[in-house]
Order: sequence, then C-alpha cells, then structure tokens
Amino acid sequence: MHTQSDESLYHQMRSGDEQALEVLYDKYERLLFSFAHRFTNNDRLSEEVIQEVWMKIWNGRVDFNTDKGKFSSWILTITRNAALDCLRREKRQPTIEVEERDGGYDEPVERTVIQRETATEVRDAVNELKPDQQELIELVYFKGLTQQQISEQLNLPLGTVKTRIRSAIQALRKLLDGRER
Amino acid sequence: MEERCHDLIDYFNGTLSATDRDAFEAHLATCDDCKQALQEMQDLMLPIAESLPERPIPTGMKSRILGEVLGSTEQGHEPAAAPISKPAVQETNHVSELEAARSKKSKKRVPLGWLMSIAAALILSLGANAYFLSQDKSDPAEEFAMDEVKGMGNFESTASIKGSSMIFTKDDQEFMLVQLKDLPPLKEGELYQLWTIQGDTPRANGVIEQDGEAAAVFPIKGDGTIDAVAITVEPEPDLEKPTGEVVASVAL
Repeated sequence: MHTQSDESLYHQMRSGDEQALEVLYDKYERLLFSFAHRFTNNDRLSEEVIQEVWMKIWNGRVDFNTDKGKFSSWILTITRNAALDCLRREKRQPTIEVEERDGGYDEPVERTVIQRETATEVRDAVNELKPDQQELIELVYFKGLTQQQISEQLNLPLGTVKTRIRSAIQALRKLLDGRER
Repeated sequence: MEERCHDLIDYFNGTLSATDRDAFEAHLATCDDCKQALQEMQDLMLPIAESLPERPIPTGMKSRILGEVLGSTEQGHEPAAAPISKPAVQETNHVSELEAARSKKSKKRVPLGWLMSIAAALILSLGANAYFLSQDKSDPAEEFAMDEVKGMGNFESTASIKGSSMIFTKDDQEFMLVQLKDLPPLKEGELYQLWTIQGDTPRANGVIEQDGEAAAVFPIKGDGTIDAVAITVEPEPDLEKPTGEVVASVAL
C-alpha cells in the first residue's frame, strides 16, 4: 500500500473523485476540527466551518496550486478564513446563548487523553512567550482583528503593531522548532 | 517601511476591501520584507494547529459533512470525465463512510408528494409560531432536505380526521410538521390544539384555527424526545392542560 501525496489526491478529487475526497477528509478531520474549535469554541460552529471548507474545495470555489506552498498550510488558511468569517457572522447576529449539547463523540476517550498530553507539551511553547506576545498571537491568529483594532486594544502605535507581531511570530516559531527536536 | 506595509495583517486576516487587497498584492510583488513576513505567518499555521489539544469529533460528523458536500455537487462542481480505472487512492480498511453518507442523504430527502410546499412553509415559519400552506401542487419531483427525521406516523382519529405528522430537525431546531384532512367544522371560538406528548405529559404546541384541510410546521417547544402528538378541540389556545377530548393522535 502506498500513500499518495495530498497534492495528487487534491487533483484527483477536483476531477470528481469522491474517494480521493474521503481520503483527504479523513486525513485532515482531526486537525481541522481542533483548529476550527480553537476559533469558535463550539462543536456545532466548528462542524459548520469544516463543512464550508470542504464545500468550497469540492466545488472549486477555492483553488490550490503548488505556488501556494504546502497543501496542509493552504487548507489551514482556508479553514482559518472560514472560522474568522463564522465568528464575524456570529457577532453580527444577535444570538441566544445555547449551551453546547453533548451529542456524543466518535472517538475513544483514551486516544483523546494521550493526544491531549502531547498537545499540552507543545502548547507550552505559546505559554513560554512573553504575555504581550501571547496576546498578540491570540489577537492576530485566532481573533483576526484588524491592525487598527490591535493598535487600539494594546495601545500601540499603528506602525509598531506589525513589528511586534513579527517578533512574536518569530519567537513562537523558535519555540516550536525547539520542541520538534 | 512603506505605507502599504501596514496592510499586511489586514491582508492576512482578510479584512481589506477588494481595492486595497489588489493594491497590497501588487505591493507584495515588490516588497520582500512583506512577502517574507506573510510567509512566516502562513508557515506558522501548521505548527500552531498541530500544537492544539485534540477535540473529540462529534458523532456522525463525517457522514453529515460528506453527505452535504457530495449533495452540493450539481450546484457548482463540474467533475471531469469519470476516471476510467478505479483511482489508486489509499485503501481504507473500514466500510466506506461515503456509502453511509450517500444512504443518509437519500433517507433524509422526503419526496414532496404528500408534503406539498412544505419547504416554503418551513422557511416562512422560522421565527413565526406557525405557517399554514395553501394546497398548491408544486413540482412533485422537487425534494426538500431536512437534517434528520426523528419520527413520523399517521393520525388515528375518533372523528375521521386523516393526516400525518413528522418530527424533524433543521439547523439544530426541532420542528413538527402536520398535514390534516377532514377536520370537522369548529364552533365559534373553538380551535384545534396540537399537543406534543413526552411520557404522560402533554405540552400545547401549535394551534389550527380552521377546519377541512390544514398543513403547518411548528417549532417544537422544550426539548427531549416527543413520543406522540395529539389534537383536541379547545376554547382557548395554549392551555396548561387539554380540556377537550382527543380527536386524533399519532404515536411517533
């Protein structure tokens, strides 16, 4: 059994191959769900986000090519955009706070616990950043605020925001790289 | 730093206007600093995602999503010629959930034969307490997708009322659809009250103020599984408990 690259699966899928879609879906299900959940903090919205992502990809409303880098980074970018759109939509709509229903989960608890332990270890990398850098990562990556909003919220001159963000990103990169070793 | 360099974050977060976005993309082609910074931000996406605590996947998410995605094909996707040979994708050693997604998809589609323009009614009834239909025949080939049918059945009646009821979900809200025929004439001030029954407890959940034929969709009040739907004739809408006799009921 050989494993096909994401890129070749993507092209097969784009020519209408449903099995290639399923293989890609399986491969990215957990990653995309955890990622979307980090934005929405809600199972239902995360599922909506992921559905939107695959709708866009399957129907060719977004297009991947290798100029755009790795497939994994590309699909995460699409997911992040969909999650930010979803957050903006939710914000615009007056909604009733609904307690998230426990509709049951697909996976055994054991696996989750093991995954969580590994994840916690890595997550410390973000926690090791200076508090203001942690906050910047949060506002830029997970809240999708505009530069103006960040500048106002952190009381920083507009011109300084970009530089600060960049150094926060570089610091995080370094910490994450250190963990991989 | 150039003026345009300040748009980097807003470009990354997709908050620029179309004009500014185009201008920034033109700027990117000439500004190595922005290009590199953007690359750094994008490259961090995967390590950040991988570092997150894994969330348990909601039951059935895959078949719901693939069902919806594959069901959307005709609206935009134009598959090229079907692959001649079986595609050499990785074999999965479990029963394909695509099959499940497909069968689920066909199950949750309800032919409009007996429901007529329910789709229109449902859309209109969202936010309203109920919406009644005219009995115009719509294209019988048309189908209306609901998220999940929770139960359905035909009414049994002591007053020769005929009809059916169905409980279904759409966008996380439960609805009760009823279609009734041969509702006996009502006296002045009377109405047909629908009750949803959980165990032994009835809850007033919708009113029909006409005789003859009626079809309506009511959002279900409260939560929990509905065991049955009953209809009584009442002098007032939405009483605490039924005062009239049950003229029709259906176990779901």
